[in-house]
Amino acid sequence: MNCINFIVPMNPCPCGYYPDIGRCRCTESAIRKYQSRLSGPILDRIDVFAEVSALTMEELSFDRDKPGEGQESSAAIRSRVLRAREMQKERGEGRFNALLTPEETDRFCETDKEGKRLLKKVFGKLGLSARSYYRILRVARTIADLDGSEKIEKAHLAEAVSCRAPAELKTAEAR
Amino acid sequence: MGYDWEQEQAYAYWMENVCGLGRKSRWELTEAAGSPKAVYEMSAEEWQAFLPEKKAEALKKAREEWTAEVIEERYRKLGEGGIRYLSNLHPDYPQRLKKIPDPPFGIFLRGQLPPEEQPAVAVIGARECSEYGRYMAGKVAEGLAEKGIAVISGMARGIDGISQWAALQAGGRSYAVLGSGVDVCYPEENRTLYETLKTKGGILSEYLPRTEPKAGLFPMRNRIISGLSDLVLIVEAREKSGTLITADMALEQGREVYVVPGRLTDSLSRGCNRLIKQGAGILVSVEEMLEETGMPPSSGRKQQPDRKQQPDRKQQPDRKQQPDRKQQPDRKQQPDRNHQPDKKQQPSKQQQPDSQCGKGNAQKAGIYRYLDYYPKSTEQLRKESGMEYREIICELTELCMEDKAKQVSPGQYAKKERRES
Repeated sequence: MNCINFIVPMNPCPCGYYPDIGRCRCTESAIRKYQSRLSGPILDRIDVFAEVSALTMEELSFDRDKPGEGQESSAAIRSRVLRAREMQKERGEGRFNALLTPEETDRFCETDKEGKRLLKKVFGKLGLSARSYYRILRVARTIADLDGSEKIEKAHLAEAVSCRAPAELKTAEAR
Repeated sequence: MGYDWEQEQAYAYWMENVCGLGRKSRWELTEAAGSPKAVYEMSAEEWQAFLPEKKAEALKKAREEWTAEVIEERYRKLGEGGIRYLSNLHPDYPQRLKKIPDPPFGIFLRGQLPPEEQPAVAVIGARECSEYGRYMAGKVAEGLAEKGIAVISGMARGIDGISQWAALQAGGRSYAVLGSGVDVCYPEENRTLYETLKTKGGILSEYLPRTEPKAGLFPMRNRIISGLSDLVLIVEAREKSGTLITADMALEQGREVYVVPGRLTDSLSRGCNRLIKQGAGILVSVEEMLEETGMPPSSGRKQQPDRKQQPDRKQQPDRKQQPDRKQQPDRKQQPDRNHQPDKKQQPSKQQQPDSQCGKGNAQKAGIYRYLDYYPKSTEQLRKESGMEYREIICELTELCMEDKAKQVSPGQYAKKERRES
């Protein structure tokens, strides 16, 4: 089965500054129109939404080999990724987490009591479809893998939920 | 005044329909002739003597098209369509509007007029408002409605619409003055508000029905918004904004202007803060604003001497009477959390998953107080709180599920305050 990694950049609005109200000069309808070009079904099938902010001068000129406080070098991150991939290949019999079946997901993506509680809240609040539910679990599994953790903790789940399309992107009437 | 206003109404309506005749000309003609019907009965020469060529021509054409029967018929049709026309001769024409420097010749109406005896406050502000503005507009309008005060605004996107909707939700009455005809709902996204206003308030306009909204029509309608109110409150406004022009108009009309103050870093509060410097009142609470301006029913005693009538913006020294009100209640809330932004944290190599989450409510309060109504990035929150990234994400996700916060974009979160309705 063919599988691709689909990674795309996107601006939040025509001028690119949203939600920085101080700098964004777009009208609300312009923003909504711009974001609505990604339909709900497409948003549902994207596993991770991440944001990168503009770098400051110091950040631009930092030494890649000497990470600062709270930072990891690219090399360290790379080794974590490779280790996670190994874990996944073993678990999924050659397949990565994205290709786990629902039954395999149920089996490998168990979480603790706290995690279950959070999942329940999320399910209720977001009105998740089965597809979305399984996606969250698989993303959480990957986050836990990157953490080197056997079990999926509440923190991994929370991060997976935060990676979904933010509510504002999804609904026309965001508020 | 001698003439039968009922009869005159139809002729006033005819005058409104004369293309190219401005408001000023309508007033002047009526004054010269004595009444709208008399204007209709003026000879073409008299018109020519009184007005520039083009306008006299327009009147002539209009009279040809609108015979007496046509006038009666079209005026009647207007009423049947659910639209009332109140010329300045009509006994129900709003008294407040009569007194402004530049009153409308007539008003079109759907629904009710703001009652004469009900105090009214105009709540206006930026169309693209911040989360803070959104919250304040709703909160203030709700407070006003609870005190039986009508909320007047322009039904625009942003502050206007939000405040009007909140007033209605709180069981109050609200009235919108449009920059289009009363039968044109602009913006379309406020359709529900528009429909509700028809029954729980009113929709007014100086412009003929079916007039499409155009940029040039809005500044003029703003004078009617402040004209119908006893007090104008500005929630958010940029440094050079249309809202500030409305503030000027309000002062010209002798209305007091209050603003919601904001942070110096918020461009949306710059206009408001600048108005404070120029003497506008500062809203610290709806009750205080009403007391200070002598508006019933909050205090009962009428403080007439404070009312500012002068158009020039004088300082109001009595406002600064309450130094004790400047407490910062938040200071008392966190005795143990030491805010040390430069404290060396463990490099957050995501090594302690177990310790991060679910420590109960004491920690839950952790990231919440660093949130604000304008969005903050997770990075910013990390720096300010000193908390670990994992911990922050955990709490933020839970807060979002509890509707206390919202994820504005993948990496930014804002506080969300839920008002009891």
